[in-house]
Amino acid sequence: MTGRGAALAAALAATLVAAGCADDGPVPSSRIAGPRLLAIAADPPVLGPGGATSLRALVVDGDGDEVAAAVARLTLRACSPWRPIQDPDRDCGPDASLPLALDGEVARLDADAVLARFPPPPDLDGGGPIGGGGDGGDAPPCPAAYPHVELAVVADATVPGDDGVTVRLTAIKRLRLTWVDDVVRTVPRISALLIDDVPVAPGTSPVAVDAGDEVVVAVRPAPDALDRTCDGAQPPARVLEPVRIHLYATAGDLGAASVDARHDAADVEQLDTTTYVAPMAGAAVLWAVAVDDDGGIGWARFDVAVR
Amino acid sequence: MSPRIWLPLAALALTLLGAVAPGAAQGTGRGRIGGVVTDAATGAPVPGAAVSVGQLETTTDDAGRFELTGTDRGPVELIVIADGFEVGLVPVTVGRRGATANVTLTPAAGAEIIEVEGRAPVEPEPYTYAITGDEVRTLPGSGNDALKALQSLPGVARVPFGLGGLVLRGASPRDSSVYLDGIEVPILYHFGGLASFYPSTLLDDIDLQSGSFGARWGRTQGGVVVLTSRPGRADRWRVGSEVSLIDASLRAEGPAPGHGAWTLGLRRSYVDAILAAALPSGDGALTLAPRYWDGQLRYDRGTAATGQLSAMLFFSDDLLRFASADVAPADAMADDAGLRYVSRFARAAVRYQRQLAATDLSVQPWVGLGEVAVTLDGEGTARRYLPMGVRADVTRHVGRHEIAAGVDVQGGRAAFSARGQPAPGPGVAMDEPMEVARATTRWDADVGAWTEGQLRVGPAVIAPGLRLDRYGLSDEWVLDPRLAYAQELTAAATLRAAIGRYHQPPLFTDVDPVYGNPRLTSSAATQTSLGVEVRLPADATVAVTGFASSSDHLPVDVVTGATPAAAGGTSDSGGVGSITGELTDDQFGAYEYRESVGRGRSHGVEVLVKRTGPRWVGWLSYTWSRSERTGDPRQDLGWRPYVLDQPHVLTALGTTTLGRWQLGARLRFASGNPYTPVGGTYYDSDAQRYQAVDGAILSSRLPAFVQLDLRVDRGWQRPWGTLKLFLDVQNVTNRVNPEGVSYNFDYTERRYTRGLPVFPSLGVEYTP
Repeated sequence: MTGRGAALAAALAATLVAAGCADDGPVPSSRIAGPRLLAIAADPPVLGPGGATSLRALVVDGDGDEVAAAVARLTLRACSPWRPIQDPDRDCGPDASLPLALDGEVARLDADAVLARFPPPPDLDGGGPIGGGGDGGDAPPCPAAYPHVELAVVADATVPGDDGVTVRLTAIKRLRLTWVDDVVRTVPRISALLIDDVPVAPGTSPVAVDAGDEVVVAVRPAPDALDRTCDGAQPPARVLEPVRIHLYATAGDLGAASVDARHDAADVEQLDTTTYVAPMAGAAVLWAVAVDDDGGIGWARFDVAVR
Repeated sequence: MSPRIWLPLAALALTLLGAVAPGAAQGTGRGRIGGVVTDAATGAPVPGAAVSVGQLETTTDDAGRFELTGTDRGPVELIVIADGFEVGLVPVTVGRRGATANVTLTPAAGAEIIEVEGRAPVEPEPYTYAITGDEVRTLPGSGNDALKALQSLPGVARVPFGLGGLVLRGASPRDSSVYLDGIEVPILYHFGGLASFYPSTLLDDIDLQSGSFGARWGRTQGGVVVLTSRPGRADRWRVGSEVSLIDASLRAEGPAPGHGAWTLGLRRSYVDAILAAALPSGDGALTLAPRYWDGQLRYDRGTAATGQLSAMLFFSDDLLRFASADVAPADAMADDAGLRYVSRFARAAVRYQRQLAATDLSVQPWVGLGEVAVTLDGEGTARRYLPMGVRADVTRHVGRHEIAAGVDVQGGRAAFSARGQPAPGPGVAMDEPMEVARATTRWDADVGAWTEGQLRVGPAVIAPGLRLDRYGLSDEWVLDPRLAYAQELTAAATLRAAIGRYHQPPLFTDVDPVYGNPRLTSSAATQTSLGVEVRLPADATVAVTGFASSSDHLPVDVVTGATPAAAGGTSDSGGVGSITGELTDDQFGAYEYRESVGRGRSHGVEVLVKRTGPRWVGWLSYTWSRSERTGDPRQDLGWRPYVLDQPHVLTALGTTTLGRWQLGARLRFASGNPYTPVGGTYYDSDAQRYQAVDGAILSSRLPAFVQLDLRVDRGWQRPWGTLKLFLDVQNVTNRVNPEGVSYNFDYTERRYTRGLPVFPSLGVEYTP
């Protein structure tokens, strides 16, 4: 932390303690209370020379049900990788973007099409403005950093709200565009939700939970969908990459909005837990969105029935 | 017994019991009368004449000159007795700057002719707002604090959350300076606003020059506050004290060797003890331990006529820790535990003043120590410095005119260590993770020389000035011409005008090669002012001053120069973050890559209406002003409001004495500070959170600030001194004044961050 950051942290902490902290408000960020555009996934998440990736978006309604791309009037567009995107409308408007055609729920993005639409600036050197050197491959013992730029993809959806008012949703996904060959990264996949240590696979029958009951929740990513990386030990050990899973619920209360999943050198999983208090009646939909360090995103739905 | 226990206990004991001492009660003792006694018949000086005011007495020297210090302020009667002359009884009004009374005595036989000049001559400076030490201790809403009392004066913006920092005529807090007895003070307040570093009871005067000040002050492009401490009273020993809800203080003054006087003061807070007892302990709870000390020591001897020597030492020490309650108490106090903030400084000076016939001489060398450090678990930033300097000036009186010249040298050794992310700039990308550990030591000096004249032509005074500075950090020579003009339009009205150029050097951290920009240069402002002061009957004064300032070469973050973070307030912070940055810039540094390409401008009108009655004081202070800034012109050409731009600031204040009670009230109104609204939102899929898109930079304004403060004093006068109980309640109606904006997770709901609620300050003060 720089002195500036620490000083500001101390000053702001003192003032916010004195004045009252800002918080989520009465509705936490993990609550699905209306239409939400929860995530944009790119498979693969890293785009190499001549490569392509498939994009899809997760749009849900207030009941937690996924909304089809056509119903959501979903559009996707790629932005210039050579400028920062802070305001999607201003920085990636129709005149400054590459529209992506949807085929059903999926849009395809080609690296060549991006570079043709947005030629690299003449002063771009081989190292690129971001990242260091390295061949990008999984050379033992640890994968090297690969030079890349961030390629933003903007998703817009227009979804009817519960009260009949149309809701416009905008999300940005930042892929990695590299000019190094053979950078292969996977997309995480959620294999199970653990409720009180009992695994529940996605898409299975609703899990029955007593009304108002508090259960311990964890999320298990599929090991075969995780890349290898190195931990911070000396000497480093090759481990499966850590993943952060963000949780959303249409009803009930989640203790934490996200949990982490890690593996040790022996591939033994270490799953963080949180709590979930079931609603007093009805049902709930839980969505888990997993994000890894390379921007890989995967999600899964779990249904909860209150008895 | 820990000092944090014995000091308040001792202070409380002394306050409640009183220190028994003989002698009658004294007057305020903060006035000065000087002059010459001459023979009405021949015009020759009258040496050896006895000149007295009340209990104070002196005799004229061979040139007939006299000086009485320690008189009361206001109307007094001067008695002059000399062999062979009629007794002279002269009514004199002693003002803030003292009074000059040139007395002409008539020989014993014949009619008595007394010619008196009992009013201080018009000074050419722009209107200076002054508060006496007595006024500070009765002003409601300031909690007995001298520097906070300044916020009731025109031209001073309101700072959120009651934090410290001076915003004078729209200038940044880092652009204004505070001097105590000629020594620049680095930190004005304990913890940014709890209490000022110097107790009000030891101050004689507080002069606020919001701008257009003379050439003797430099390295500042905004305004100056000049604090004058008072010498001790030498007739006998006195010990006083004050105990309030947050701190306790002791002070003493008395005779010293060489017919001199000592003044001592010591103050310590006990907020840490209160919070330690009040805050819950347990898993995850935070230990909050703020504490501050300040101390003063002063020795005075002699008079200006014979050679006045003053030696002074003062210090301030703040320490704040945030530590988890999970850490053992002994470990929690370790330097590498939790968040730790320390800010301390000390200054020692010796001043020699002498009046030699028509020449006044003053020399003051000084030396200091200082440290500012912010660390988290032992890592962060620390600055340690060893400043030193000398201020010397000579003033020559030539008839009614005056010419002065001086030098003002300030420099020393600064050591800086930091570990963290360097500032984004050329060669360092914004999001490239990097940690740099850096430690450096540097010697530098700023040398200034100035000259200033006062040419009196009829009712007018013209004061040209010139200041030449060399800034060591930026290796620059700068020349600042200044000109002031004052004219008595009538016996009751004075016109004042001024124009000048004011340069200001960069800060030490500004030019660091890793955390700043070594090519950064000084910034500057051109200031003008025009005003009229009218003295009305019944002790009323009206002063109206218009001002305008244009500044250039302001340091601007050019990496994010066009974005809200640099412009002053993102939608996430509602402006609070940028305001905090302005308040801490001088003390902590900015750690940004900046270039000297910014500009600023401000203009406005200040109005002060003040009236004093026998048992009451009231004033109305109003300022209309606009203050704007630009960012990097290569990216953004527009003018935006300054983050502390407040177009309207109105203060109505009054105190009255009813028997032994003194009641006071202050009503303040100030425009809300500008902030940047949310212009849109999007969901960041990778971070899995909503991000706000800023609307037009600083285009919205918080609701206005309105606050009512009340103060009640009850005094008991005894032969051994005065005991006073005071209750000063800020925001007595507990009004919710918005100080910032906060949002829910998706920015669909907005809430205002509330400012300080009702805040009482209760204390007991003993004055011998």
